[in-house]
Amino acid sequence: MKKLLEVFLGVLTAIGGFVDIGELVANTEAGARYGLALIWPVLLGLVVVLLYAEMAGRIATLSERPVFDLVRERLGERAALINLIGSVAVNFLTMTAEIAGVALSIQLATDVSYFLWIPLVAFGVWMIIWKVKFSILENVFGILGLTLFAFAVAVWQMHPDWHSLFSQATHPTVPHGEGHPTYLYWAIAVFGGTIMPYELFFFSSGAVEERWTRKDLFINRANVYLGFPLGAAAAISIMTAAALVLKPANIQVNHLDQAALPVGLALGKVGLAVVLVGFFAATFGASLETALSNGYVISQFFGWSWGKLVSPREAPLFHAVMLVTIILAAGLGLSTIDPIKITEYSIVFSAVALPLTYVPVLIIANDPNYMGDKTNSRMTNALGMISLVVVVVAATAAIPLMIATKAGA
Amino acid sequence: MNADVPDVIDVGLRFLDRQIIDCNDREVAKVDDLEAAFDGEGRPYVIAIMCGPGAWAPRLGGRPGRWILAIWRRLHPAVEPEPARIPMNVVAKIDSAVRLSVPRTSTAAATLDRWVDHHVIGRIPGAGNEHV
Repeated sequence: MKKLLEVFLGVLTAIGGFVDIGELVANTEAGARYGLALIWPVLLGLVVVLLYAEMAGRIATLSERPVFDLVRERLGERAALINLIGSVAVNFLTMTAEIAGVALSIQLATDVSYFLWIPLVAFGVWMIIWKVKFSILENVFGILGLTLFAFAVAVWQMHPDWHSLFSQATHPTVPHGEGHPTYLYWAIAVFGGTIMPYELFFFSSGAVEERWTRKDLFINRANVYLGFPLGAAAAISIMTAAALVLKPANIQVNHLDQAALPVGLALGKVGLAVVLVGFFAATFGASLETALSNGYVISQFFGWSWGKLVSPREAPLFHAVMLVTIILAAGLGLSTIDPIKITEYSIVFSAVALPLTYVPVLIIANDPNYMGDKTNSRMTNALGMISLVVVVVAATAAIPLMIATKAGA
Repeated sequence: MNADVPDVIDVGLRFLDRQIIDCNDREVAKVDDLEAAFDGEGRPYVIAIMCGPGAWAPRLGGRPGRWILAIWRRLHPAVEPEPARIPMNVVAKIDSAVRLSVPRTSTAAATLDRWVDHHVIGRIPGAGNEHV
């Protein structure tokens, strides 16, 4: 019974944790601009992240070592250092976007400028990591994130023409007056928003710290195979709501409140309030995860003591890394750079950085020295290789497309 | 001779870049480099593990390696800084990690760790001040 509850909680957390500022911004913009013609990158991203999160969880369980620890061991110092710099840069940008996202959500609820909230949010993130040890709260934020299913309710309440929605999704076309490069750029943004590298670092470090054993491998599968698809369903409902409300009105998305607009129209004030709770929970949860991920990867590269359940004095460098990065992220958030722009860049650079994490995961998941008899099956390897090709193509195309399209303008 | 520490080891595959863990299961550092000596028959043997930028920057090589090494030397309190050494006699076991028989804070590799603890983290309220 206790085990069942644990699985259930894990799945709920995975659903809520799947959506963060990346999806909120990318899926709203994509829906407002292209309707449902960009659902396929969400589904493609889902398949890729399913495969690799399961591998990372399995690696962490069997070798009792988190991903980045093994990256250094297997790739050697030089390759791992380049990997570290890329991953931390993207992580940092993502953390800034998440913290700004929390502040923007509070601004929507209170009408007090988000600049005032950023320092308070950063302080809250730090306090939770410092004192609360972020284990119960992980579930709390995950479950509160489920309120984002208000988007699905809103879509259902708008009584859309389901047949035309389905054909938009299955026969994606680029609208008149839009160029193909811009369309592909947004496809990469949606793809990158669906799978951000920090998720793997956080997931595998958590598995190590909670001392998962072979018996827990099915919790790993349940979290990934049930939680992630339901999370992706929430992400798709955000895009659909934008496609139904923002696209016909030709609204260009520049602010986070435009993401909540469809729910406000369909469900009124209560719906709006529920969705704001969802925004807050999703972005706050992700702020904590990205902050911890920076601590994890840097500590695991240098071999320092780390852990969200370890007291600060047992892991001083780990906590110092997080303190510094949180302060810097708050600083960047306060610099008046548009938080929506920061989010857009963070998801596109996420796509660029993905091969850095995914290649070593695929290599290690095939190494019997770490995995024993639980190395990848042929099927997983075949799908993993195809996914890797997709990831590498997206990573290579991202920056040229960004330059060519002036970042999707 | 300790049975848990093998006599012969493939240094590149099984030793370098491995995690070092102390007697309380806490991470200490990585095996950034090794110090070797030669026995009477000219065979190399490992006498110490070396940690920190002083050990890994030279392995990194090139301009970044030289720069990191120079910064480390400049910041180091000693006039002729040496990389932190963990002598092989405190290594209890080598498996997926290198396990020590002593606590983390007693090793030379934990110098930065101790400094940050003492000057920054330990001073923030709520750090758990069992020893100041």
